[in-house]
Amino acid sequence: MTAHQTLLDIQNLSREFRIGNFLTGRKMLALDDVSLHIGQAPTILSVVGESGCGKTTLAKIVLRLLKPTRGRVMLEGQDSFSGIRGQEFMHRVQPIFQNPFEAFSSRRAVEKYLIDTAMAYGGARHKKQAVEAADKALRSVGLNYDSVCGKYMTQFSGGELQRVSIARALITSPRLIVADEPVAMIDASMKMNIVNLFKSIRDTYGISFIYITHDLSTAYYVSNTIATLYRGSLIEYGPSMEIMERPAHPYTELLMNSVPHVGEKWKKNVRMSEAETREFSLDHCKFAARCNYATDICRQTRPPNVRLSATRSVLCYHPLVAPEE
Amino acid sequence: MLRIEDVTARYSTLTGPVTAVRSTTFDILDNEIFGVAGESGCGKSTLLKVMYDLVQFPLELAQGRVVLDSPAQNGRPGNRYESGSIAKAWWKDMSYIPQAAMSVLNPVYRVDEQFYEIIRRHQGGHKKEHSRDLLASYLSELSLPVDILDSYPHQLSGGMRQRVVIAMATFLKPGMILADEPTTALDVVVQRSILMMLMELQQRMGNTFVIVSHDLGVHYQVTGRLGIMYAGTMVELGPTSQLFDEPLHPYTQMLIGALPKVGDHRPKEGIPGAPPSLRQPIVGCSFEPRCPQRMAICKTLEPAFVQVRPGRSCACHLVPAMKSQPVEEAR
Repeated sequence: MTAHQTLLDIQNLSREFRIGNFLTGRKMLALDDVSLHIGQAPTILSVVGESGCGKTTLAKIVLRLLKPTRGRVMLEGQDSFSGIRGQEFMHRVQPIFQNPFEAFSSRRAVEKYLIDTAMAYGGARHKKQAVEAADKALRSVGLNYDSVCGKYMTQFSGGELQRVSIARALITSPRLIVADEPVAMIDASMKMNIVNLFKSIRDTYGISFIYITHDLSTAYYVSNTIATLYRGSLIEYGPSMEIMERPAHPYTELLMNSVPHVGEKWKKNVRMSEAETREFSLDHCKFAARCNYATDICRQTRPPNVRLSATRSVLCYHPLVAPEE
Repeated sequence: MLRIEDVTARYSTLTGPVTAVRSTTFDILDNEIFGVAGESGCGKSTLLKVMYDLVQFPLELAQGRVVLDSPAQNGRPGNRYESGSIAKAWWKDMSYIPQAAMSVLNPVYRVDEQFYEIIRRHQGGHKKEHSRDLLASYLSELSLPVDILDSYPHQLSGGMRQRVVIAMATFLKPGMILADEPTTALDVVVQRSILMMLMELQQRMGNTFVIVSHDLGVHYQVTGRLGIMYAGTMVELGPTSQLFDEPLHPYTQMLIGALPKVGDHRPKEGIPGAPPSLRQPIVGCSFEPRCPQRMAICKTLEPAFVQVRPGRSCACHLVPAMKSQPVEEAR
């Protein structure tokens, strides 16, 4: 296999869904021309946005669970839908899901999932090898095979079970892990442990993450780059430090100000959106109706993708940060 | 004012009782927003159910009682209710916004019908046309669109349904409103607008809100006083700003220390270990196995929940109780 410049290259990805039946239904653009890429260096890319912004659709397409309407996903130079076999794909890309209690069946001991993964995708030839692989993966998340063996999902706490599902993803030694809201169901006291685990896995094993979340404070804490989605469009992309400290898109600014911070109290209220599904297919700026900076042009044509620096871009007529010369 | 007196509440299960709330005593005052925080399984929702007297099998009130003194307001005389009779106060003097409030609306009735039912049952006497005007003006007070009255719940977004339920719970202007995780499962922007709506309502009506949430950021923004629960009991209680500035209990200290902040890239640690099982009786301090500052006494003796500073209580051997001398109190 030849070395490629990028690990994952998402090119002009769009996905339409139909709401209602085929006669009265209308189209909804859940993802609208999204392009992203992850380089070879291990990195954590956070995808943030409110519910219904297309985060999970993006995750499903990257995981090959859903076909895009337009555009393609290139994994190390190969088209992930037509260029890679299923087994090879699962070997390289692994998922972690939101609710660990739904990811495991209550009638099957959890170690069986680890063994199965090792046998099917991890290259283990017999059970002994599979157990070794499972034990190694469990140790890297602070558990071990003996403490997990024979237990069922109900005997774990949410934090522990999420660690087991991270361990399961690690068994195949993937290049990329797609984590869809992995800490949404986890208590505050455990959340940081899980998020810290992502950082240490990135640094020790060189695995990249796509971390999908609506929790901006952990996104800022853990990630190298942040992509903000709004109604299916990628509206801002860049290094997390810069985006969080100086957001360029008015929506990112609104998101940042809405996190219930400890330290600074809210003063004024925010404007809510009313017609959510309609906003997906607008051909001008989708955020214009709620934006404090919107002018006439925002309500007429689609804003351009403005390059702010080598690593930052924003989809806006009036970015809050001036582009570098 | 709502007094919680030595409440112990249990769930009976096939494998034995689970004590979700253990001898907890505290007061909720009039005209304040009181927060209850803690991780899942610490008993905060059960405590709220006991406060609302929604005690049904398998939950039972094993010990203690809850006393609600509703002040005279809006032309209604003051009333006193106790555990067992609090149901009489529902909607009028005390209302409850359940967890996942966006899914409690009846899917086959329009929103206005569901409002009329509350008015019929608890106020009575109004004609529909008259109620409609009242409703419309109330909704516009809350800056909600009036045409939601003609919608079915499935036509509204989750955040809007949540606001409808809050509008219902506050429509008869009860003196005490209990909200269980009112904004969990909502986006930050929607969460913010709902929390601001709650604060505005409280200021306008001058009543009491009790907000249960696991999100300390929400408590910081909204509540005036905050109680931290751990393993079924209160471990610290005090004015929210003081609690954040100077947490006394090691659990509170670690919870606040684990909060990620924008603009702060220092590594943060979660709390190692897990809370104790509530099936077995707890000996000693419930936080002892996870506490970095544990001492010998913590293993054997459970610390009492006592006043340690004016207006602040804590259950920890490290924090000495305030001497109840009149001089100290005057200060």
